[in-house]
Formats: sequence, C-alpha cells, structure tokens
Amino acid sequence: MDYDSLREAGSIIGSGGLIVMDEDSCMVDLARFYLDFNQDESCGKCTPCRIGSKRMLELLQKITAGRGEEQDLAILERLARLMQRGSLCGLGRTAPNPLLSTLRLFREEYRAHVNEKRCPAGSCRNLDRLQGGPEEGSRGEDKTVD
Amino acid sequence: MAKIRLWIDHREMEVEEESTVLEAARRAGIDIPTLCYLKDLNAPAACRVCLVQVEGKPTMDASCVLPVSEGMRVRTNTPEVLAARKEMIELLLSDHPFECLTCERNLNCELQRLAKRYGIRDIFIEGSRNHFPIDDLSPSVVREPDKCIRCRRCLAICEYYQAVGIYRMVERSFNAIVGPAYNGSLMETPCIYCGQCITVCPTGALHEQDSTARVWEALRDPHLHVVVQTAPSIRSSIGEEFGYPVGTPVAGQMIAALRRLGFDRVFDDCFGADVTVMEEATELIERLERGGPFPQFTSCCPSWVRFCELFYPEYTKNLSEVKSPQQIFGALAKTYYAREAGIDPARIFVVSIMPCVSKKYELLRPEMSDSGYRDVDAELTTREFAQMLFQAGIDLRKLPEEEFDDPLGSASGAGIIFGSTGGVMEAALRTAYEWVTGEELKDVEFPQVRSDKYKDAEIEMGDLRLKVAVARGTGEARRLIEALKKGQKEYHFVEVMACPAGCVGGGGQPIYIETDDWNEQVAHRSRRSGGLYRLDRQAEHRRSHKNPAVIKLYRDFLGRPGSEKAHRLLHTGYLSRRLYSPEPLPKKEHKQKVPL
Repeated sequence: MDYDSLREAGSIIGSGGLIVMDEDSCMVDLARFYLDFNQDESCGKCTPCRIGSKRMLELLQKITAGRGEEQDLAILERLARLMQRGSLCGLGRTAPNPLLSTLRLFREEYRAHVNEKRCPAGSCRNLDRLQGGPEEGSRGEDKTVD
Repeated sequence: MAKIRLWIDHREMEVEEESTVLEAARRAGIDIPTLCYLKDLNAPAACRVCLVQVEGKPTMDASCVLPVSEGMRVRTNTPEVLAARKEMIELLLSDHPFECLTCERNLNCELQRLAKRYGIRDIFIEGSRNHFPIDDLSPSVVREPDKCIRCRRCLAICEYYQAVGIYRMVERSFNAIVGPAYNGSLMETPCIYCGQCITVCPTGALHEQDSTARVWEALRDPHLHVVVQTAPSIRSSIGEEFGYPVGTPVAGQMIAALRRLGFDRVFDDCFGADVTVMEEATELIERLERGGPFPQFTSCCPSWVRFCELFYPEYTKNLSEVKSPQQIFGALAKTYYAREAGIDPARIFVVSIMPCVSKKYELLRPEMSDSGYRDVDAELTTREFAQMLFQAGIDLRKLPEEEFDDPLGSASGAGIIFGSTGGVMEAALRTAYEWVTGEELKDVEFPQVRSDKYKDAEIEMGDLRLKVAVARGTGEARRLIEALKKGQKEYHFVEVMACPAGCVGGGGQPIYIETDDWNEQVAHRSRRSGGLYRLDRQAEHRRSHKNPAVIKLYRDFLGRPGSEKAHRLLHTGYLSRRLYSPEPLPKKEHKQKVPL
C-alpha cells in the first residue's frame, strides 16, 4: 500500500489510518461524521469552506434524520464541487471527499434514506432498518470509526 | 522588469512579472468581480468571488492573488466559472439577513450590487444563519455583525493604515466573525472612532450612530433655537450625493438647503477654524518663547487626540490645548452668539455637520461643556445630512446660492482649507508667519505642506527655521512619534489627521464603492480637496487673523488670543487612557489643563 496505489483507488493516505467497516456502518452517516469534523476544523476564512461545509453538514443531518428531499443529493453534489474547486486551502478542497466517494459507491444507501426514509445499516435513528418496524440505532453513536 | 506572456480568454498579452491575473485582466479590459479585495490594502482571497480557471488545473483560483506565469492560459468567463461565482454569492447570501430595504447601505452596497450583476433570483441552498448582537454602545460606530461577509477590510485598515488594530478574526468555522476581542463591544477597545472601517465595509455591517432623529426632533421643537455649523469639507463633498462631480464646491446651495430644512441660523464651522488658528498660532508662539515642549501637535482631529491619549499618553503635553473648530464653535455659539442675539443659551441647540463619526464622540466628552451647557448637541455626518435632504425632498441642484448668517458665518480661506490634509498647518502658518516676523506674506500659499503623502518642511520665519510636518492616518502618526522618540526627527509643529487626505476622506463622508483599489479610493477623496483650495483662492480674506468677524469676536468678547476668557472657553486638557477597559466617557472632574 503506497501513495500511488491509494490514489488509483481514489483515496489518499492521510494520517495513515485504516477503517474497516461492514454492512452495519451507514455510509450516509459516515459522510455526515466526516463533514461534521471538517466543518468544525474549518478556519472560517473562505466562503465555500465556512458556509459550504456548514450547508453540506446541515443537509446530511437532515437526510440522516429522515427528512431528506429528492433534490438534496444534487445540491450536495453541487456544494461538494464548489468546495473542491473554489476553497482556499486543502482542508476545504478535500472536505467533501467522503461525501463524494460514498455518494459514488453507495448511492443506493443515500436513495434509501431520502426516498424510502430507511437506513439500510440501521444506524440512523428515526429511520427504519427494513421497511418493517423501527429498530434500535443511534445517529450520535459513531460506530463506524474510532 | 521582466515581462510575462499569457493568455486570458484567448487573448494574448504581456504583463509585468509581479502582476496578478486580476491586474492583467483588468489592464486588458476584462472585468472580474471582487468583494473582499482592496488593492494594496487587503487581499485575503477569502470571498472567492474573483475565481478564474487556469486551463489544465482541476481547481479554480482567486485571481486577486494569483501571480501570472509564463505561458499561462486563463479563462475568466466560462459557464463553469460564472456558475461557481454565482454559487459563491448565493452562499454568502444564505448567511445574510435580507434587510436591504431597511439597511443603511441600501443601493450603495457591494454585495447587493454583486447579487444584481449575477442575476441572483433564488438561493440554491439555505440553512441556519449566524445571529450576533448588534453593538451600538460606542458613541460613533455601530457594528451589525450579521451583515458581515468576513472580507476583513475593516481589520486591514485598522491594523495597517491606522496602526490601531482592534479587529481580529474571532471564533472559527461557521461562527467565524471579524470583530473586536471576544466579539465584544467597540467601547471596550482602544477604537479611535475614526470610522475608516465604515468607509471600506462593503455592506452595512458598519455604520455611524444615527443622529438624524435627534436633529429632526430639535427642528420640530418650537422652543429651541437650532443653529447649524458646517465643517469645511462638507461644501465639497455633499455634492457627490446629488450627482455633482467629485470635489465640486456647493457651499451656496448647501446653505440654502439647510435653511429649507428649518435651521434658525446657518453658520460656518470655518469661522470656528479661524478662531482655532488664532489660538493655536498663539500657543505655538508661546511654546517658541518658552522653548517647548515640541513638537506642538494639532488637536482638531478627535480620533488623533484619542489615539495620542491611548497609545502615547506621554505626548499629550504636546497636543495643542486648543479645542477643535467644532467645539470652539459650540462654546462660542452658546456664549458669544447667545449674548449678541439676546437668546437664552439654554434654548440654543447646536448641530454640527461634519465629515466625521468621531465628532459624535468628541461632543460627548464631559469636559466639552465650558459654555455651561453641552457645547455641541448633535452631529450629523455628510451621509446623514444627505439623508435628511432626501427625506425632505430638497434637491441641492435646484437651489439658489445663499450666504451664511452672521456673526459666526464668515470665514477666511485659511478656515476653509482645514478640510484638507495640510490645511490646518497652512492656515496656522499664514497667521504665525505674520505674527512672528511682523511682515505681511506676499504669497499666502504654502505648497510645501500640501500633499496626500507624508510631508515635512522647513519654513523660514525671520531668524527662525520652523520645522513642520503633516501626517495623515494614525499609522503615519505612530511612525512619526517613534522617530521622534529615537531622535531621528525633530519638529516644532506637526499636523495629524486620522483620515486619508484629511477630513475630505473622513469616516462620515459619502461612501465610494466604484473602485476596489485603495490608492484610487484615496485619490477620489483627495479630489474633494480641490474644491476647498479653489474656494480659498476666491476668498476675500485668506488669513484667519484678517477675518473681520474674528477681529470683532476678539474685540467685543474674548479680548485677545490666549486671554483668560479664551482659555476658559476654547482650551481643553487631555487624559491618559487605558487600552482595554470598559471605559465610561471621562468624568468632568478628571479634566486636566496641561500647563505649558
């Protein structure tokens, strides 16, 4: 595993950490978690990072709380693109990466949250695991990462 | 200087090596919008509205800080770039209160203008907004942080131009805001109330304390005798608000307009300036006789006085103890004029129209009540004055030219040029020269002190070579004082004005948003001086001590310059102030008259 092979896989080496997840990890909530972190780390200097990351976080909070709307995914992508291209520094430019890669690889999970108000991994509170009754799950509990 | 060849929007061009893409584009007539940028003062690349696409790069760049490079190909108006800019503006608007209709800067706001230019009809993303308390505790400047777009121009001008530095980025991420320490009140900071932050704020986040309501109320009160004094620079700046070219002197129309607003007497603050010259030149001669302390600093500018009190209290003994023209006028209006006109001073309400927000603070200084009353009751900025005229439906352009009232209405050319940088110095020199040498000046003009740059000169007065200097901006004043401390400079007399180009560039003047170049901004303000020098050349009397109204004042009322009565009414003292303390305005008993 090195810089090049990770780049080929569409990732970066970052601090060298590796997170292993299974089907109990909600990809939407994962994106929300990282956005929360990056939004908090923003210095607040440039417009796309200061306001854009806040708006993305708000949308992801809305989706994981079961209030997502049809157009939200497109707006998220728009904001992500704007942050990537227009931010002043690397933090803002990479902050949308978790959202964009989960959206690319796990779009179905996003659709389930938005269209069916269902969290396939069962980790989003307020959302059903299956189309049956509600099941235990916590949005605040980030079981996907240490 | 090496040239760089590049292509902007497919147009080939050669520009100097250290240009930015924005500068190169502008030179070729390609406009790129900016918001936070103020050339040569502020380029934090924060707003991201000036984004451009360098071909072959995955990201976009802020053109205001992007250096040109050989062979670079830049696109400034692709649909992607335009969409990104538009989204950037929409993001800013998503955290902005939609209060345009009730905003001080309605129709003169850079954000509003940008929204219009980019045809914003809908905000693609909305969400929570920041809510910060409004800070209206200071007597001069009001901060509405909710309207702040974090451009940092206020920070830049306060720190780099004024060398005061009360603004910082506070908090971070979404809550990041430009403000004083802990986002507290300006009252708790060493703000000098110059209001330069107001003049560069692109939105309505900073503006003056509104005094128009108080003045309307006074005008409505039948028991009050409301008199108004207009500062020297207003006559060459108010015209801008009515579409006159910058610097057009419109004194006659301005006087007519004030009468139509309902003022009982329309007086000229330049008369107060003439009296200031009489007293200040006398003080200078006294210092020359006593051997100091030198230099004598002018004290017409309340922001400069406050700067000195806060940062260099050891130099307050150098400040001229003569009050500013505003306060001299106020004290005379409620004593001399009251006596001449036979009006109870308790009924006299003195309004001043000033290019300044600091004058609102100055008139509240507790010691400014030597007439037995508050010497000046309310101050309006040039902007507030224009606002009152708009409300009253008074169009300067449709008015005849009228004259100031007596006895406080006739001024010399020396009083008029007070509004320009170097003007106070020149006015004082005209009088001091004649008093020191006993000779009449053949040419009353002192071009060696006229400049919008820092200027020093030696003036020959008989045997004496008077060393003088003129500084604008407290940053320049700080450098000057540091040089004095190190013994690198020595002067007898120094004029300091806190604002660029002097009062014509004051914090209360019309706000000019047509340029994002600080030097061009200063040049625009300097052009207002042209009108004042023109009026000076046309004036019947050009020396304060030859003004018949001033001669009459001393003959009938004050005695002679520097008399006991003049000291009691027209002179003042200064304080040493602490930098960071919730400071109430100083109490009367703290007043110190500084002995020479």
